[in-house]
Amino acid sequence: MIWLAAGLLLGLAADPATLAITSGPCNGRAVTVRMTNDGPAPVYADAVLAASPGLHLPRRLISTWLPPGYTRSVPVMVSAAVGTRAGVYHVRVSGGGRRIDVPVTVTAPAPDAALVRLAARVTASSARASGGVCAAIDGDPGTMWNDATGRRWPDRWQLAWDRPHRVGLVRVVTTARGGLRDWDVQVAVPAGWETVAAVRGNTAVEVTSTFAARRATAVRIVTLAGNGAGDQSRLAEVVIR
Amino acid sequence: MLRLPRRRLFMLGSAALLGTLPAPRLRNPFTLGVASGDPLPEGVLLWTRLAPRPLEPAGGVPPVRYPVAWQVAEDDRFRRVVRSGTATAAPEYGHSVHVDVRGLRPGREYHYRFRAGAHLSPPGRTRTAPARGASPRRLRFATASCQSYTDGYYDAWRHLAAEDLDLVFFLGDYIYEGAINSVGGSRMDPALRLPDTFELETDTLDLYRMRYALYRTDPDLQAAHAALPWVLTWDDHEVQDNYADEVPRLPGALPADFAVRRADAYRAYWENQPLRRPRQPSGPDMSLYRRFRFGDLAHAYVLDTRQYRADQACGDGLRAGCAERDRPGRTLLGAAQRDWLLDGLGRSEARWNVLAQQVMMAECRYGGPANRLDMDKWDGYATDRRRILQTAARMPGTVVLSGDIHCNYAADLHAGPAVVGVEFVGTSITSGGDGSDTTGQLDLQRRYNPHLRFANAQRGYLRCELTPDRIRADYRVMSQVTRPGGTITTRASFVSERARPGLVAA
Repeated sequence: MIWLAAGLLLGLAADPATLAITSGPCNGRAVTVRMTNDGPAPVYADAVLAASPGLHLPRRLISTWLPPGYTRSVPVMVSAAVGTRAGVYHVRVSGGGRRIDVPVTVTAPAPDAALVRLAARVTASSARASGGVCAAIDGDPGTMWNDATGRRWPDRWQLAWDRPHRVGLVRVVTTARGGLRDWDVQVAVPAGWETVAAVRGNTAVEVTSTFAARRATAVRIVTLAGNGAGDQSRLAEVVIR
Repeated sequence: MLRLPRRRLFMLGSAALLGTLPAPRLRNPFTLGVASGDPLPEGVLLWTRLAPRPLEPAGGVPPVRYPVAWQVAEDDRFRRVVRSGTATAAPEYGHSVHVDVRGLRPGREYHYRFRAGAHLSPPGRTRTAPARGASPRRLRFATASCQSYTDGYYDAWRHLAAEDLDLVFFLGDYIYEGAINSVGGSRMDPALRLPDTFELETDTLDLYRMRYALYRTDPDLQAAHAALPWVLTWDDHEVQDNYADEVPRLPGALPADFAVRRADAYRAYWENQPLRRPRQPSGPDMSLYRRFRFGDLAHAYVLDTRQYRADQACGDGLRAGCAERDRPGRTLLGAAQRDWLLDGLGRSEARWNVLAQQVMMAECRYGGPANRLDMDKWDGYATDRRRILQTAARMPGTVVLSGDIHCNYAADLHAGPAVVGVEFVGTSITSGGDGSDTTGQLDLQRRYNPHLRFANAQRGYLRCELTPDRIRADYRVMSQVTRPGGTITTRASFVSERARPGLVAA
């Protein structure tokens, strides 16, 4: 085994070659870094990632063992905070003496975009590696936010804006097996957190709670119980209007 | 020749080293503590890792080599230094330091420390094994396993560090591979300012390194490492939950991809534990099974039940009526390790043969109408178990130490109707949260498994004392782990005689 010192045998690629994202913590997209060992012997190799100020990467280094001819593909989410100035930014990946530049075009979400797209912060009481907080608003019911504390309740998933929005509907999509049974929907109003819906004994996959619309700076779903299967919080999608 | 006190030499040496350190100089790099392990009669392995900013991918260390001076002394004030030298912390090994100290005296306590630049590490205490020909009166050790960071605080380690012990057997699940964030789990400590990198599942070398660094920042875990030598083996979560050899937990992953993940995990494991250089992995392979001798009192066989096992039978999990588990050729240990173990056990001249390993060996029926068995444990690999227990029937003094399942059990081990050994399954340090004295499932298991003498689901560790004719095990349990400040008590104690194996409440 050798350490890739000279680095001439490392193939490096990034896919896609350019990226377009809107600002917001859950509006990012992934760039997949591909590291290939083009040499005849196994190596340990590094790829170093850097980003223009304004962009956020969850990791700045990828180190891995590479057998000969093997390509390691690692998706890295690229996002920009709310308020990031529109423009072209860059993600740079270097390793094995090579360097790749991925231009990233950042724009603000349209003013009439869905409220979940306008979020400034999305957080949860805990999350599994395979079930991050953004999975609940990614438009894909095949992915979900999944809390990391099985059989312990309550859990909390929360979305906040930088300025108030008028909110009168929260739709929760959970799962057919082990889905949410009991939860409260709360909104942040000037007086504090207000419970606007309390769902109990649910067995449906989708539940829409409507309430008198009010201006709120955040919505949170306080989960209280699930329908078995490890008793976990499972939010496949959340729609807020 | 002018003879300077060893301490003075150490300081001079360190001053000289300052001139050779590459720029920039490091802030205190000893944030991960120190450790010792794998004690031999003539030596011990010393470990540390430089990481001035432990939560960063490379620990905040520039990618250059750093000299690290080390000392071993007979006293805790380092007035009688008996060995010293300089090792290299290299970036390709995550700036870890592994010093294989030899030339020590058997059965003795030593103290050690490191210096990098102007920074002195916290001191560690260790102990060499008794001489090969010695007849020790006793060996005191603990077993521990399963320390999920998010599931609680490590007060159990602080209590263990205060025990009067010769060594610790760590039986696996040192790290967990899933997401960690500052507000999740029982620690719920936003002050940690944990980077969101920790929300990624570990699957590359940099992420595994960071995970070890996070765990090792815990002061109670550091105290336990610094207090006595550890003998470690791994279980599944050091790579991925319930993996089997080259088979990942979830179907669909390509074998080549999992082999690379395993290589990265094994590399990080070696870098972050007090293991000798020959244990260093070669790609996805790392030889971890090994034997330690404690005079004629005990031979300890440290096993690896993850790397060579056949895939779990019948799709893993709890299964009833799974004939596949008895299929010839299925193995938990792999042929080479199994033959090595059987050969060692069959020719052992020690009073006791201790098997330090991961998963429960005793049969454990889960009760109810189906009466299921767990395919991830020895119950899923009945052939290997039968051969070991048949050998144990000929060799008195077989003790099995296990972890993995976050519960305490005490069990008689049978070969046919005869009791041929005993097993002590130790609970977790934190995994599973506070736990409870019993559960409905444990009640069922006790009813359907009369050879189980004890079952309990609290957190803690096992404290054992081995004498030539008897072993005693104390089940030490924590009042709580989900909040700091938990206290420890002895929940139950059992003894077994070498000449007449079988557990008796002490």
